[in-house]
Amino acid sequence: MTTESVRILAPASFHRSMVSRRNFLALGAGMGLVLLGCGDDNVATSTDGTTAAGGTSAPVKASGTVALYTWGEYHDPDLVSEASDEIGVTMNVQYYASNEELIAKLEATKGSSGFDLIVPTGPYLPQMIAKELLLKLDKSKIPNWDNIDPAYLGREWDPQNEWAVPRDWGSTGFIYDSSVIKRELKTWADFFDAAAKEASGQMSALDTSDNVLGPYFWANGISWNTEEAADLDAAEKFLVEEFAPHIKAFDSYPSTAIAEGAYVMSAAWNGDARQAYVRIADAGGDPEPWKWVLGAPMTEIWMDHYAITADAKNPDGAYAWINWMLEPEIAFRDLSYIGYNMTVKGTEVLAQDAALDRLDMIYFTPEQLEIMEGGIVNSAQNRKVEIYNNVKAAAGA
Amino acid sequence: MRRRLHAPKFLLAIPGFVWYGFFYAIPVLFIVINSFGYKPGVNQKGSVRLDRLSFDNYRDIWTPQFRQVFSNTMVIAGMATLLCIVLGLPVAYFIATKAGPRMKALLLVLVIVPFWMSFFVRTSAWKIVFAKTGFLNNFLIDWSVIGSPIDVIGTKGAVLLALVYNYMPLMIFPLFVSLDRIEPELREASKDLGAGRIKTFASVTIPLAAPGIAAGALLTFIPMAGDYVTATILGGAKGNMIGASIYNFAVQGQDTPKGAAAAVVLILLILAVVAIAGVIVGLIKYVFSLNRRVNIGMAS
Repeated sequence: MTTESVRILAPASFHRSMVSRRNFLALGAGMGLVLLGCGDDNVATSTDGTTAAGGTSAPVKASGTVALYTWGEYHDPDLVSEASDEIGVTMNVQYYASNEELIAKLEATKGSSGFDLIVPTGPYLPQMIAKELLLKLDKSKIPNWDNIDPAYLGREWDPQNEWAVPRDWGSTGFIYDSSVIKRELKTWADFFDAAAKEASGQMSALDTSDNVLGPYFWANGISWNTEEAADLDAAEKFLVEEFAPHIKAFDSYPSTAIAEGAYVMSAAWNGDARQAYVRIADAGGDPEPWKWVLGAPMTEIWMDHYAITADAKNPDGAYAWINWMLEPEIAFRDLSYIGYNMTVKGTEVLAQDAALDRLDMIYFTPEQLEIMEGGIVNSAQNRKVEIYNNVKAAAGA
Repeated sequence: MRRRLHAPKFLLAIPGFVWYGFFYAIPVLFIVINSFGYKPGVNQKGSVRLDRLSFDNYRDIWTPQFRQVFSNTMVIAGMATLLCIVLGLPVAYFIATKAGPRMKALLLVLVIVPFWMSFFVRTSAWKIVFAKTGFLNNFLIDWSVIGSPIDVIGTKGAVLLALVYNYMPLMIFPLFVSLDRIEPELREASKDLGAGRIKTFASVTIPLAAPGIAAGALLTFIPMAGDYVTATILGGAKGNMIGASIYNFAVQGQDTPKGAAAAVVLILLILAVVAIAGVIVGLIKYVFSLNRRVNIGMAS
């Protein structure tokens, strides 16, 4: 396979398209102010979604069971259990830790995975489409489609939005216990330094190849989409020799383990880091010493999508769930739980109105957006996975 | 009429053989074949290509890091097997020789009780008890037994202890069966001939129970060497075992051929360890039998 064919499938970097999102965010904030100015009743709540969507339609109903294969801690469990009453389908939820794992599972079962609905990240969509793992969307079954903010549509991985429904987006950073690590950590370089010192043997890394390698590149001012062999070799040398010995676990969802006292520092996606605060408090601990740091000088931006598998047994059930999730109030409830920026119009206003805890971990400033870089699946993919496997093996040695 | 029943003796075994052939031999054969293939490009269909066969996957996985994981796995599984024997033998011995019939049944049921709960759940339950902010640490700190919490989860030790716990019944049962079959008269005879308790245990009970010990060792060592769940839940990065590495290659790494190669290496390593253990046990038996013959010779 040539590099070009990959480039054609993911021609432009996510970063470039951030301009439109920033514009949108500015617009969204402006809209919020206007709406807030309208009065003290719930104008924002009732306006949002209904205006652009031309009225919230009655929920699409379906029946049977929908097998949802998704990231951990990624859906409000109340919504999952309410689905049977609201849309008539019973949700059966299972979890993966990385896009690689998702694709490997779908492919290994060769069309009999049993999963109906999945939540892949943008740059991985072209290969899933090429591998014929996805079902082409029938948008007539998603009447709430217009509730999606257009800023998130037409991305390079699915230019015509034929395959996937944008759901949410976020970034990556780390959280640390300032009662153990008493200095202030600000960058990925600080993260690696603390990993080798105060947090040695007490820290977790994310369990995906991208997120094990990304922080090294970002700390060194290199794009994490680099295809240079020298960059990859240097990353391998550093991560295997200087980082791996300090890793306690590869944990994509460290919030529960943090509450159990397992780590003093963890790389985490912003929403999961936010959930850690909830888990610590739930476990009777004190979340205050924990500090969240968005990766710097560069970090990730990712966007996840709902997609239906090519071999889905219950595509109608999957459509019903997707459509329901595009209701602004439902999307807001999901957001309140998972702590990620949703693609549904008006959810940010609802979140500001409700004064959700730690909004700064959900919504980013323009300066923060400026340093975020989208991922590309390119010719370095196999090499990155190889490095990641070597880091994991070295961590256990 | 009775002659009719004398159909070929293997007839009843055929379903079992077919079952094994279909569900074991054929999939394993495919794993072996896949291990010589290669991973297709990122945007190509399928998880393995077989149009060019090579030993590349074996060469690629045989790095110093993976040799370390392989040897860690063998050491952990070997130590856990020994611990299972040391801890399981007294239990099996007590149930087989000391307990009355009702007690025997009750104790045997108690041994399997942990198996009534899902492997995953009972392993995860350890996290609740042994976590740094878990029950045990809080209890010990409250009673001033320890000053700061002990970190058990995420270590090789945790994996070792949990393996022993998870697989102990598989050791106790074959031990019990072999001990239970030993006629009490043999022990009495040994006593009558002047042997003490220890001598009787060492030269009558243990040799007769040897097949049970061997069966128990195989039943525990082999699945423990390939265990994935225990190492993944409790091992963290440090308690990494081959099972988790195979998963990493095949699933997280999206590289079925490399995962297959790692699986084949695991199968070969287990065969090698079992063969070596068999040779050692054979040698020990041989030495013992020589020893005994000499004793008999002297007595006569």
